[in-house]
Amino acid sequence: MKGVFNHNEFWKCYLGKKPGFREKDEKTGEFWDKMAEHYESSSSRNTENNTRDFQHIDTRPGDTILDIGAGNGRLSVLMASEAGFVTALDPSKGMLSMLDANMKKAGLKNYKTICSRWEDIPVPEDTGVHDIVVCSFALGFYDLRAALEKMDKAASRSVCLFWFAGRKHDDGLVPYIRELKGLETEAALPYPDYQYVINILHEMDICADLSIETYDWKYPFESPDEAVEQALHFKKIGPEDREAAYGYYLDSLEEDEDGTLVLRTQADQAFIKWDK
Amino acid sequence: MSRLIDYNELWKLLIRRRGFDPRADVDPVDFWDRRAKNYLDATVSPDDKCHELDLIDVRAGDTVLDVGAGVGRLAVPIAGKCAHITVVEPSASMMAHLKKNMEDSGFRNYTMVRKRWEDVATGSDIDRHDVVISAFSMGVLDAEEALLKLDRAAKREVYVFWFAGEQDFDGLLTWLKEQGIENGQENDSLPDYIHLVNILHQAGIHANIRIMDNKWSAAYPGVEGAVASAIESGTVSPENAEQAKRYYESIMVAGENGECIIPKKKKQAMISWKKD
Repeated sequence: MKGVFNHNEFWKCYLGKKPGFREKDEKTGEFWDKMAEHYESSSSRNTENNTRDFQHIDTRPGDTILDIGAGNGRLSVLMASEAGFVTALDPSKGMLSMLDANMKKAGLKNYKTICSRWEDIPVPEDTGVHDIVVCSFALGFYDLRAALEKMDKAASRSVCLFWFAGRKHDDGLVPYIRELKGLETEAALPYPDYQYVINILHEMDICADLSIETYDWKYPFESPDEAVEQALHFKKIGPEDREAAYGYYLDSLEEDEDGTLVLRTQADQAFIKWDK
Repeated sequence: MSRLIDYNELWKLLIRRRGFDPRADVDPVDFWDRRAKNYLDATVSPDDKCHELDLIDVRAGDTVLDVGAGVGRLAVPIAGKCAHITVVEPSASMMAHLKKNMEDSGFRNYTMVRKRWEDVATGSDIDRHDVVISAFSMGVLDAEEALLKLDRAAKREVYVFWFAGEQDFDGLLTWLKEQGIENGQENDSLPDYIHLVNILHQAGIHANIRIMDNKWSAAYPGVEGAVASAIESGTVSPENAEQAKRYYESIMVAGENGECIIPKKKKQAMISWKKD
């Protein structure tokens, strides 16, 4: 039964044709450096979601945890406050300096950072083996199977993944633009969703637990212009769509309680876990 | 993307490969009627028999539907926890055992529908129930239709239990392979849970998965009984009876009354989803 399909090859096809994937993949550190500040203000506005994610991870006192694509430490900080030691890996220096600041703010020193792409780091030589490996919304690896095999190797107790389920944190911009252009509004997903991840794991003989939940998100923006620039940065739209996107965000940004402009979205997400 | 592969057509291929042909003159009901006796002889040890029950959210006032209820392994204890349970079961002898088990426990809050799930008309044969359960009863040709019918029959939640990985519960098949013994036909395990999850995903249902390792023991009147059961279920070809006997003798535990106890383990998945 196994080997009827190879979902990892489908995954590669999908990512390979994703606009700007290769450029972003090679310079992923720089890509996320540009996003660090927004990411920080965004995750501080969604702290209850961070806590909810954290509660899925069975963290025990004394645990060592490897956080892959740790970003600004959205989860690393929470994990370091309960576990023994956290290794936070991220390709972006900008993100990791936010992480340092957040650890400092929380008075935590039981962590270290590694600035690297996951693909480029030898496992376990340069990472060591940790009780738990966590990877939250950072599965955009061209060769996902290789990345998952490395995670499995780097963990001694369990591996925890968070990933999109169905339509990603879709803010409605892409369908809006496509409708304006007279295209089918059902655009391709930015990434193949969790279904591909559990199938690739299954092909690796790993039967993982899965739970799907709905989350509400608030993305803060200084102005509609900032939202447009970000959509361009993520290659959701092309430069020719700038004006239409501005109109869209002008209508859809709302004021949060403190007066900040926010975009509210709802998204399903998957929590995938397997024990060693 | 969701139609890159039609997972239901793949399921049908894998089911047909096992010799299941709806046009052939093989009545699966006869098969289960014949197996009902073995099924009872293979007494399930009480420690593990209610493993699934702890995971099913059944409340006092609930109506429950159990599809493929067998002898009532789950239906009988659930009858004690809910307002009413409807059992769907095609085999007359399984049904007779179920009825007796219900009577022995003093439960009368149940209705029996003696039909194959494929032949049940939701809307006329049965009403919608709060909770719908299907435990190891997805051996159907059209899994998508069977799953969506479970979904339609449910008001609150659906639970599907199915195998994870190959089905070699007592290790006999692995042992034969290791010994280099040809086993007549290729061991075509039923397609496992990942296929059901894929079929649900392509139908827009994002289900949860919980993987369980179940251990239990089956008691047979003697080692010959264990061999006969393995032949009857098609696990081992009749010409390998001697080898099977040798294997069972090596792993069996003698019971107090001289019965032959074979330890078994089964990796299984609970697939569940809530109705919106």
